[in-house]
Amino acid sequence: MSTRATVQQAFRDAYRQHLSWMLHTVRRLGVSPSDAEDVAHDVFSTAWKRLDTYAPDRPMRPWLFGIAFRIVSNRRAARGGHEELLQDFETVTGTAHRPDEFLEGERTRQHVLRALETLSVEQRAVFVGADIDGAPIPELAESLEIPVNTAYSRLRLARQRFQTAFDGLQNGVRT
Amino acid sequence: MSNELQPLSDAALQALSVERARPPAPDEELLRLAARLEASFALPELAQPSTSAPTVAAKGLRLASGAKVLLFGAGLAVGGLGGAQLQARFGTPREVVIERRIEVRVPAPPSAPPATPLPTPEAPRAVDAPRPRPVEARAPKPSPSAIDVERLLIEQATSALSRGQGEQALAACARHAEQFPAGQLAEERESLAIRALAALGRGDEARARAAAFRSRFPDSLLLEAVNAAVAEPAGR
Repeated sequence: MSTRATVQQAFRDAYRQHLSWMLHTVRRLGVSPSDAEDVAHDVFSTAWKRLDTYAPDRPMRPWLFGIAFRIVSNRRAARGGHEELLQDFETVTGTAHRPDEFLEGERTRQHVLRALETLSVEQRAVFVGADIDGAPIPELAESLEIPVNTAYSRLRLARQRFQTAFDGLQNGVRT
Repeated sequence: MSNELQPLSDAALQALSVERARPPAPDEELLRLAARLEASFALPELAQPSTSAPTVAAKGLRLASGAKVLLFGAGLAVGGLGGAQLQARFGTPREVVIERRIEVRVPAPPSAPPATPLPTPEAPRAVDAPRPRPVEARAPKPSPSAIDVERLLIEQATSALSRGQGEQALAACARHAEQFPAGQLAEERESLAIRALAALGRGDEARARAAAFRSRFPDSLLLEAVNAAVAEPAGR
């Protein structure tokens, strides 16, 4: 098998493990629920076309994350920087044994997404990558093609904004 | 420049951990996305001369030299990856079967000319000539079969287990057990659940389930993995 065919096969063997994560990721990056599937499709389609930049011996997620960020960022720019609607109909499924626990979790997740809305897409990408996905900052900086110091700077600002927005949401709920 | 970061509050960290553990996307959505992707992955190969071309033609593509061809929609029924094809894809990853169907309308010629190389499809346009029935219209979205859903759940469990997320693996197994108690992949599900329980330190549950596994699947090829998962550490 040629090298290209080998890489293609490696990609096809592995990408399905990341479908659900990618759908969540593009939502966290600010894509509306109704567009998440199409954007995720764009990410994997773009990845397929850019397999020459994929190293099968390295984790796939950082590479996919970088592609997702650029697609969401370009999409945002094409809309003139306007935020997408977060409040959209969304199918929610869960496996919690108790519905009240699940609903409480869902409310928390909504608060996270709403707090993320206060960040720029660049800050959001660093925050999602580092503080939700747990990626090391240097790895994240490489995925996003930014200097490490820039990644730290964005994460610092992102945390401040997120914390402020999250606190506001929490207080608003309790009062 | 200092790279010190201000930590988030405990409440925010807790909320992020809840978001991190967000339930997987609905199976229907995952299957639909996988089907769309498999179709798009296959598209570039259409342009290359290969042995797949006659196969495509044999699927019912009727093209005549000089005929006006109408391609509906994008031409390719991108969603035309049926459940059987998904099953083939998921079951034997190296033997991809993707059915590409193209809806065409061909003006009925007085006599059909001999087969010729495929012409370049034209953009959709009206044709005045009488039109025969379109060749087999297809629904754009695939309807996943039970085995597709089974495989997806098992994949989710396997993937979660490989990432050390025992709870999520167990949740996927529970969903499989709920939907397919005696499904075709019940044996695989049980072995995964046992391994997940063992990984979570729930040894008693893992051993009880392993005993049931041995009784239910005495000849299973997965017995070795099951036994290894519940084996007592040496020296105990």
